Amino acid sequence: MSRLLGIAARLRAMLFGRGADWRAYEEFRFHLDMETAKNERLGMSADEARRRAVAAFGIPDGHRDDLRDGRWPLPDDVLRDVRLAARALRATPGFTVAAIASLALGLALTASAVAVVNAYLGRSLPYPHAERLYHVMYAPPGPVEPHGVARIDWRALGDVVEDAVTASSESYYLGDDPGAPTVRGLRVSPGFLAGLGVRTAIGRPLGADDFRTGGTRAALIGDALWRDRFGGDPHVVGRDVRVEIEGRDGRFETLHVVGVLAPGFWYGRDSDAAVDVVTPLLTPRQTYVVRLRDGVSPRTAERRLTEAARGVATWIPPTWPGVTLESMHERYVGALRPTLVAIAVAAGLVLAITCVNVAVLTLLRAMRSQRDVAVRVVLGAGRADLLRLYLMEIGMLCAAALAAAVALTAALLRVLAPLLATELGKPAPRGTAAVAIDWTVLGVVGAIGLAIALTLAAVPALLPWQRRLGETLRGAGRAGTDGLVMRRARSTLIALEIAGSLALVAGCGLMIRSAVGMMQADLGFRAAGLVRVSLVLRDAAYPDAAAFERFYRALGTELAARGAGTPAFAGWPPYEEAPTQTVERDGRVGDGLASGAVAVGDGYFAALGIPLRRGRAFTDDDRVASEPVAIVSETLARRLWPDGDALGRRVRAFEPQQPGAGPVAWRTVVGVAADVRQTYDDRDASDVYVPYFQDAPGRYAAFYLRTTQPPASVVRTVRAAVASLDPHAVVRGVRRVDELDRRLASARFMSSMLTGFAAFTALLAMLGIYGVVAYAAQQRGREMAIRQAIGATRPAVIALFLRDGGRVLAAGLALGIGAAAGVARVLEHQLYGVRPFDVATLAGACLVMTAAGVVAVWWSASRGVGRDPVAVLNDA
Amino acid sequence: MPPAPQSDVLRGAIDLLALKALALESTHGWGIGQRIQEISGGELAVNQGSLYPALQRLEHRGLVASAWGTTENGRRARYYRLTAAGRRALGDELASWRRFVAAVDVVLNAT
Repeated sequence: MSRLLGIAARLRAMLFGRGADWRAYEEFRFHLDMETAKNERLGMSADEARRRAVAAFGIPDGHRDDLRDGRWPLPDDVLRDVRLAARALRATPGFTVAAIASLALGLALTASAVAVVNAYLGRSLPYPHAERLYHVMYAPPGPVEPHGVARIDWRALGDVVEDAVTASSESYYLGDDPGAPTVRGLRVSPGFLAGLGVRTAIGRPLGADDFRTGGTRAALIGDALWRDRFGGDPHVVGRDVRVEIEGRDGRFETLHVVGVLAPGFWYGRDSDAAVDVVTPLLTPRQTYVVRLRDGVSPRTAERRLTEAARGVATWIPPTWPGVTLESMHERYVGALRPTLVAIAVAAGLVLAITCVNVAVLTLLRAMRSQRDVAVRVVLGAGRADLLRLYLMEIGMLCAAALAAAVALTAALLRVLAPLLATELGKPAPRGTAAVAIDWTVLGVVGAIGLAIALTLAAVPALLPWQRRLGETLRGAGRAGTDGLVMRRARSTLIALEIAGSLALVAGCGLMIRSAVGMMQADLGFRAAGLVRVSLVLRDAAYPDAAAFERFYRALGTELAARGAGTPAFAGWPPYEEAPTQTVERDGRVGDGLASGAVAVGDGYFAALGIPLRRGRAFTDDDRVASEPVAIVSETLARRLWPDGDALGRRVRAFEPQQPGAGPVAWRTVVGVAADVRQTYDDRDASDVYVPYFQDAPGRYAAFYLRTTQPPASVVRTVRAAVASLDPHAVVRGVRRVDELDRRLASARFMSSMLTGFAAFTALLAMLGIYGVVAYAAQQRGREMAIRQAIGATRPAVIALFLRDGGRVLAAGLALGIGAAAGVARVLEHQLYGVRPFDVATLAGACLVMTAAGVVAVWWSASRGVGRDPVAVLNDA
Repeated sequence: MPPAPQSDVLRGAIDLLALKALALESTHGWGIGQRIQEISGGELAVNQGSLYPALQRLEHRGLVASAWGTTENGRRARYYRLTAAGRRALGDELASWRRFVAAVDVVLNAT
């Protein structure tokens, strides 16, 4: 403690040197006054008393110097260095601004990338010990799961599974009125509460008593619901809320609020999935999330779970590979990783190029200031002094860049984070607000900044300053002053810049070609101008499929009457892999083909612009009860009936793995439609379409409208039309279909980001080349003048520089092709219609960089080579 | 012309005296000087000003702490007090001072 006090006293004295002087002055004055007063009391005259006091004290200035000597020696020297360095930086404003601005931008990009990557990949899901939470996959995606696994006895697995996080989703209507809002409810097991560490902000969590049947149902309400519906009432605990369970019309439940969930709690697909109501789960449900015990490996748990599932399953698919576990965090971010890694790599590359560029600028500046340095050496400055001054300049430069970068990052992230959440399709595990500057980001960026500062600090090691002191002072500007080491260093740095820029330009080219490829790709349907509306019916007024059909047909008429066009119902959206089924043809039972199966209404082919090759489209007459019909795609028709006409033949599509999936009704083929690819990766255009109303229409429906109106006005029209038929029906969402194309959106995002990065780095490379050539032209000014004087034309002299520059450019491009291959590998998963190592793209990128390089060299050299050789020679 | 640097012995002695004075009572710089003079019966009339660098040294070593205060007749003055470390150091330095004086004595008395 006392030691700390001592250090604090020293620091105070160091930082507030003037204050310390003032303190000494005050103390001395007080001392002298006291001493004088004492002397006066002893009977001396005022003058005499003062004189004696001063004599006894000694020389005040001397004591003050002693005091100053006792302080740490930092302030004066350091302040002087700071002043000198600031003056030196101000003397070269171009360099200072360029260096700080480019470094700040590079650092800000990197900081933003670090913040984003850290928020998505680095930080865990917001549950305690989230690393032990796993998703249970009872079967690989696609095939059917074993039946009866809800009865797995988790207590018997207690040695591997700590908590079985079981939940069942439920939607509730709050209240009875037609416009009652729906809220998202979860019925949860005790393991859910323990496994996810559910906490309450107010009231109590659910207890063991709440899981006993009978009585009112205890409920926790979410933070958002609490604020929106209960006005943040702190006395909400103890209130009863009457809700209707969606999908089970007329079934009401009374929820007894016992607590409010801590803000930010979510469970589900992404961190936007806030939970409004949590109630105890009273019936056994299948568990999809578990928390493993500490130290239990997922492999062990998988084995045990597979055994347990085998033990209780009532039916197991024929080729069942067993239960697999996937980390919950991985499930959340796994698909985003390629994009995130690409962003991080690109940002890192930009930063690296920025650093190299600043190194070039620093080197050039140091060489230009050699004369200045020589003067200082002659005036008595030691190597240490000069080095300290130089380090101070670098330190100030980097500190300024770092500060600017942090400010820039904060601004950038505020704009970027929501944009990125849209781009990636989901917010960060801890919410969009978590994509921000935190200690990790500051630590990483600070370390990078320090590394840059240290690297730049090594630059003077390259300078042969004192060796040719005299020469420098005499102003010898002849060719050859410039050492070989220096030239090599400059050329290497420039080549590195070109290489990095080439890699980014090539990556950018690949992404642009992918985006263009996707835009030009003919998937077989037209999405532009289409909106997709989804709808949920609530009433118990629809006892059977025919009733649903009546409503949907009436809605079609109503919409057409309101000028919104005819709705085309469809059971599956585009840009998503359709579920596959097995298709059998009449006469060849048991010899099935896998094919996509989509239920579509009449008008579907017209609305999506899918041409019919033969036969007819579905019509009004294809109803629930009419003859079962189907339309097949051209490819499927060819595969099923290679040598005959498909029309009039019969097919049936079913899921053979499903238990009890016996033969379904045969459908007569009435039409052959052009091939459609559901996604960019859809290789198999075998599809069978069945009439929408012959495929068990239900409460959930979606339809397309071809419209020129904005979605908002479409929503109004649709809502009005729906309300006129069924006031309880809910219009869930209206989206433009082309917005559903996440793949293209992502490619566009990556291309625009990479274009920005590539343009920035190419500009930096040009700046570097310009500076280096300008310096060389100045150094070789005499030589060039002599060449011109004895007959070389000016273009020929400029060509000399172009030849030198060409060599560096070639080296850079050669290096860059390697780097471009690396970038292409990172982007591999996001490419479409172009291979990672695409010669044309690479050649294009090389061309761009060559052009940029030649322009920079020519521009700089033509400015540097004098028009009048005589004037140059006279000057020297 | 700055005064000649004090010898280490003298410097150590002033530090020790200041510590000792502060051990008796927390007071301001002038008060410390007066206390030393009183106790020594006027024999140790050290250059009063040199007390301040000594106090600063002690403060930097964490042996004393200081703060602004007001005297009885309402004047602003810097008050010094001994820290816990200062109290411990006083004991140690006293012992080593005694050893030093005894050793010097032995040498000087040698015939």
